[in-house]
Formats: sequence, structure tokens, C-alpha cells
Amino acid sequence: MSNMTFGKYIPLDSVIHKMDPRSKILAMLILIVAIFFPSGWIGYGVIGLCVFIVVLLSKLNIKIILNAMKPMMMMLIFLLFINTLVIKQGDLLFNIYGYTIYSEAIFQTLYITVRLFLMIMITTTLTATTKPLDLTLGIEDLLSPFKKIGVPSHEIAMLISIALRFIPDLIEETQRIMKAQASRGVDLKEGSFKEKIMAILSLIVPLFISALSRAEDLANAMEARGYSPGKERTRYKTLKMVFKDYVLIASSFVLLIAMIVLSRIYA
Amino acid sequence: MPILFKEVSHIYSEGTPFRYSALTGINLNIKEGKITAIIGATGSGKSTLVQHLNALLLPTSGSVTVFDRVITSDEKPKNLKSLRKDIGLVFQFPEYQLFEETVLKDVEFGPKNFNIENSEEKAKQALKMVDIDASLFERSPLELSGGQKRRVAIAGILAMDPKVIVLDEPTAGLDPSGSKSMMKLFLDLNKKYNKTIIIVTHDMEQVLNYCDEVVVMSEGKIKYESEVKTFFKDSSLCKSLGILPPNVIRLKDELIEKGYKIDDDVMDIKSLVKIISRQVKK
Amino acid sequence: MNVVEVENLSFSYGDDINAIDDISFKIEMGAYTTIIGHNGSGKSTVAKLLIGLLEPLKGNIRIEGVPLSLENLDFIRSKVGIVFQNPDNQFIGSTVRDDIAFGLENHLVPQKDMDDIINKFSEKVKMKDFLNSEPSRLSGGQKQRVAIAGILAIAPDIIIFDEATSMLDPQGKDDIKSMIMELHNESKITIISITHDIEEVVKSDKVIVMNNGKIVSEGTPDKVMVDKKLLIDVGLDIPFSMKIVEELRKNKIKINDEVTMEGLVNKLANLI
Repeated sequence: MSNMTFGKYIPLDSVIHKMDPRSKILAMLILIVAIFFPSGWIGYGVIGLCVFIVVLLSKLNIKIILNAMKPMMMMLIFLLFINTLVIKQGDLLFNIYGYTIYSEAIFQTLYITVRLFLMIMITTTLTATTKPLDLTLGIEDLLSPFKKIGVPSHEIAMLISIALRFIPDLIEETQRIMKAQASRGVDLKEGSFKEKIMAILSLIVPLFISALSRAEDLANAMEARGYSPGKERTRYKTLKMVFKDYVLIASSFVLLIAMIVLSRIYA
Repeated sequence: MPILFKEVSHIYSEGTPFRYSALTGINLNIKEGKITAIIGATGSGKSTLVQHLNALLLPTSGSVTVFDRVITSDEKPKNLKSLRKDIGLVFQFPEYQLFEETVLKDVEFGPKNFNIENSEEKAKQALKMVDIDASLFERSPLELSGGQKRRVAIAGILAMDPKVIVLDEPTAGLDPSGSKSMMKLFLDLNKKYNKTIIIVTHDMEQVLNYCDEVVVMSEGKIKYESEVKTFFKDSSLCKSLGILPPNVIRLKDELIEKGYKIDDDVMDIKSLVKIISRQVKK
Repeated sequence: MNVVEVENLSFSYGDDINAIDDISFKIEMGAYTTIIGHNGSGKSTVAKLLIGLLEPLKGNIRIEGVPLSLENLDFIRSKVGIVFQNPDNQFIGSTVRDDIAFGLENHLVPQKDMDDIINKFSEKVKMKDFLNSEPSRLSGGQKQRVAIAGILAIAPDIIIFDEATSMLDPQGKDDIKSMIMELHNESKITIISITHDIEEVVKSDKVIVMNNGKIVSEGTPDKVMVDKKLLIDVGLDIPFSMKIVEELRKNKIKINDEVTMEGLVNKLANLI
């Protein structure tokens, strides 16, 4: 459980932690768009450097971000394998019994890896420096202009904040049920295909039932405390942007424009 | 000597900022054929301790001997399956592990995983032990009442025919009569079927009325262990460990303070009342 | 004055037999009432009906004279708070502070007042040092204390405890029980506690015994909790002191009924 770093808030005292969640969310969105422009190695170098500076400012341990990459490793290896089969351009690097690997395949995989790495780095920095509740407040505020066209911004924000609140509980519950079934001889690693299906069912069904009963309890608790979707509420926390927030958003924009320009040149 | 802990320590998340030492230097000998209570405050390491019994957790250092197997930190998971058949571990709120279409199938799940022959027969016997009527065998376990669900879940462990049954707070959330019949079931399993039983509990009345041995844990260490009778003989021991003694013991203490003369080894209602009666002015 | 009035209330979860079968009772302002009964006797259903989480099949509920209906629901929920059994599933905020604020936001408390209220009631339940703590770092007893603070913050007249101590360890149980006693002694809050804890029942002003959706007995604990036959019939435990009284009578000692340990000790002290 403790090695689950992706999406976890890490309480530290830094300038990035203290920033308005709205500016952080906007900056994240702008940068992700920027990454989508094929701006070449120079472009990614520039974004990488900027993000790295932000990570340094946020006092986060770079290991945390590398850890968040771990679950992606299998996917990337698979991608590399597919690429070597499909892409037959560039220089021939290896030829092992007819299995050929071209430089372009390696290059393309590396390219995607870098993009993915940058995106994870940005989102992890956001979630690690922003409390779940602030994050949802930010999302709610950013969505509120769309209320007029029927977007339930408050409900979406509540949904996200409850999901975030219960993720640790559900992880704990999953581990508990896994151990309980392991005590009844369930072995996820060995056994026939049929046994594996049963093993997975023995985990999924109880987890689903417990999540449902939890949801019912929670709905009751919220209702009993006067909550009702769509009803007017006051707000405990309100967000306030200051100068540095505008600086963050503006710099992200500058980066985005730079990437667009670079991608034109590169093309 | 079925279960022996030797200098067992367990550390969660070693090498991370979340490092937490849950057990330190545990030496413990659990006696065969007895009912042993494990007590202690929340977070004292009780659950971590019992999960070592069927190797859901491996010791960070030290060793756990269970019958003829010695479990250490480098144990291979392959060797653990037969151990899990011998040590039946019932988690807290076990009703949450039911998942099959019918009660009978759910109880059969364990024995089938361990390739036990006649799993259906074993399942039926186990259900009989926990007092679940045959008319419920084909029902969905989810339709049963809370107490019945828990019995079915316990039957699911009993059907594996374990030598040792470990129960983590088996009566949590049950009403008084439900708790009582649950505890009677464990007493039966011990006396009639000769099972060694380990119960994690907070309830001192249960410790006094149903258990033979007691282990007191605090902050990952064993603070005290003895026979239950010795443990409750002197209530100052309980108090020094931060435990509220059972009612009989508390009443005895209060009466001694008021001038009654009562022996240390009186710890059931009948003998206590007999002694009071002799001293009361008629 | 009766703050809770229930008349001919019935409820059913499906087409099955009635979970609540034509019950009527009244609760006086400031009283401490316990409701006991075995699992499935309908106690928790009553609690859910009182706060309008379930809709009755038949009958009326009035809170401070106001009938419970869809239009009055907001008013009722500002007067009645409930602490549920499972501490984890009623903690809605991501920190103690946010969780107390959640109820305030729902009841339209102005933002400028919130910090004072949060400080006051977190102090009252001794959780002020934990205002920024996440629920996963709190014990069950601490979470229940936060739940109580969240309710007190909206200044209700009635608090229902629905088996609020049953999932706690002895320390947590004692904490919550003494907090209930404190609320009862120091404020005018009406307390309704659904419980299996006999020690708690004998300290209450009035006890209601339920069985199969009906009220089978009600009155002061020293009248109700001495009815051994009734208690055994409905699957409940009799108070420890009554077990001793019974046994003493078997030994031909004359002694009056007694439901508390202190009372029993005093009676026996006079006999020596």
C-alpha cells in the first residue's frame, strides 16, 4: 500500500503546495496539451527542464515520480516489442534469426516514453502537492462557468472528492479479502485457468458487495447530515488566486506557444 | 508443542518513510488442545501476530514453528499451502468473504482448494457443527441474516478440517445471545473435536468464561502470558496492564473492600455467591 | 414536553413481514433513552425512520411537534443528528476539519462563522489537536468523536446513537459512553441510544425493548431490566447484578432487585 505513490498527496511545506489548485490544474492541462505537439527533443528538453524546476520547488523527492512510472514499465516494454515488429524504417540495428530491429522503432518508443514520463511527472506533481479536497474545490470552480449549460460542477467535484477519500479504505479492504481467501487456499499464482477464474471471483464478489454496503452507509450518513444533491450549500473554503498563480498560468502558456512554434520548425 | 514463536519481529514497509515495527522479539508457545485468548489494545500487534500463524505474513526476523514446519523470512510460498489447511484463520467480519451462489458451494470452496476428498461431505458436516439447517444449503449466502452469514463463513474454515482454529474478534457486532452461542460453538470445537483454538478478543468475560490461556500484547510485545485462572487471581495485575477485569472479579474486589473475606481463586458467580451467603447476617 | 412522538408506525423493506409493526412511543425533552433488542429486531430501522432516511408505510412521526414529511426534512435534520455504527463509512471529509465543515455547509452556516464553530466543537470532543488529520490516521473511537462534533456543530436538540460503540475497542467504547453521559448531564440534548451494552442501559432514564418489530416493554431500567423472563425470551442478556441477586435468592438470602453494580455492592455492604 505504501508504495502506491501515484495520485497520493504528500504534505510538505513548499511554494508549490501553497498555490491555488485552479492555477495548478490549468497549468497541468496546458502543459499536457503542449506535450502533444511534436516539438522534437529540444522541445521536450525545455518542458522537462521546466517541470524539473517545479518539482525541485515543490520539495518532492524525485524517487516518488520515478515510482509512479513503475506501473507503466510493462506497457512500455510491450510497446517496444510491438514497435519492433511494425516499424521497419531507419537503420537496421539487429538481425537475430530474421527478427529485425530498426533504429526508428527504438526511437519511436523512446519518444512515447518521454512524453508519458513528462505527463506522469506533471500529474504526480499536481496530486502530490494538492490536497484532495483542494483539488476538487479547484475542479468545481473551474467547471462552474459550464453550470449554465447543465454541467453539474458541484456534483462532479463531490464525486471526485469521495472517490479520493475512499481509495485507501478500498485498498485496505482488498488486501483483507485477499488474505481471508488465501487462508481458504486461494492461490492467484498457481493453479489451472478455471481455478484462477474462481480465485478472482472470490475476490471481486466480496469486494463489490462490501463497496455497495459502504456506499449505502455513506449515502445515509451524507443525507442525515443534511446533504442533498442540487441543494444550495455554503462553502467553508474559498480559493483565492495571487500573483504567483498568474505567473504559473502565464508561463505555461508561453511554453505551449513555444512548443507550437517548435513543432512547426520541426515539421 | 504445536506453535512456537522464537524472537519474532515484523516490520511493515521496511526501507520507506512509512516503516512501522508491528512486532518486536515475540517468544510464545501456544499449547495444543487449549483455548488461548490474545488480548491487547488496538494497534498492539494482535492481528499481525495471528497472520504469522498461517504465513500470510512472514517474520522479518526470528522463526515461527507450526507443527513440523519452521517459517522464516525466506520461506517459499509454495510450501505454505498445506500449512494454511492445518491452521484455519477466520478474519474479523468473515461474512464479507462469502461469494458463491449457494451456502454449500461456499463452504466447499476451501476444501476444494486444498484438494480434500469428499469436500461436499466435509462441508455438510461443518455446516452441521455451526448449526446451519440443511434447508439453507441451497440458498444464496447473501440472503441469510448477519449471524447466519458469519456461521457459514466459519463453517467454510471448519470444512478444511484444520488442527488449529484462529479467530480474530469472532463476536464483534453480534448481539448478546448471538455472541454466547458463538462462544459455545468454539468451546464445543475444543472439547468435542479436540481443536486447538486461538481467539483475539477484547471481551474479558469471554476470556474468563471460555478460555484456558491468555496472552496480553502491548506495543508489539508480549506483556504477560499465563493460565486464565492465574491471570485473574490478582486484579491489580489486570489494572496494571490497563485492562478492566470481568464483572465477577470487580464485584469480588469491591466486596473485599467492604469487609467480606473471599479467596483469590473464587472467580465464578456460583462460588462467589456461596461465600457471600455464608457471611451475610441472616 | 415530548420532543419525539411516534404513532402507529409501521415499515416494511419489501413484501415481507413488517420490520416495524405498529409501534408508538414518546420521548421527553432532555431524556436519555436506550433502545435494546436482538439483531434484526427493528431498532436501527426506527432510527432511520426518525431521521427520514426511510419512509414509513403507515403512522406518524413528530419532532418537536413538527410532522416528519418531505417538506420538513431540512428542519428535522437540523434538529436531529445521528451517529452510525461504522466509524469509517460516515467520515465524509478528507480531514477532521473538513468533515465537521461538511454538515455546516449543508445547513447553510455562513463561512465566517465556521472556523469558530469547528474549533469549539473539536475542542469539546477533544479532537482539536487532530483538525488536520486524515481519517486513516484516526482510531475508531476518534472517528466517532469527530462524528459527534460534526453533529453538535449544527446545534441539534436530539442525537441518535445507532450502535455507535459496537465496532470500537474497550477504550473507544468508554470514551464514547462517557461523552454521551457528559452530553446528557451538561446540556438539554435529548439522547436516543440503540445499544447492546447493558451497563449503558442501566444508566439511562428510560429503556425501550424491541422484538420482531414491536415494542415489548418500556420503562425505567430498574423496572424493565429485572424482568429476566422477558429479556431471555427476546435474546438479550440480563444485568450482571441481577444474575447475582438471582443466585443469592437461591441461597435463601432476601435481597431486592438491583440493576447496577454500585447498588448491589451497597446492598451487600449493609448485610455484613
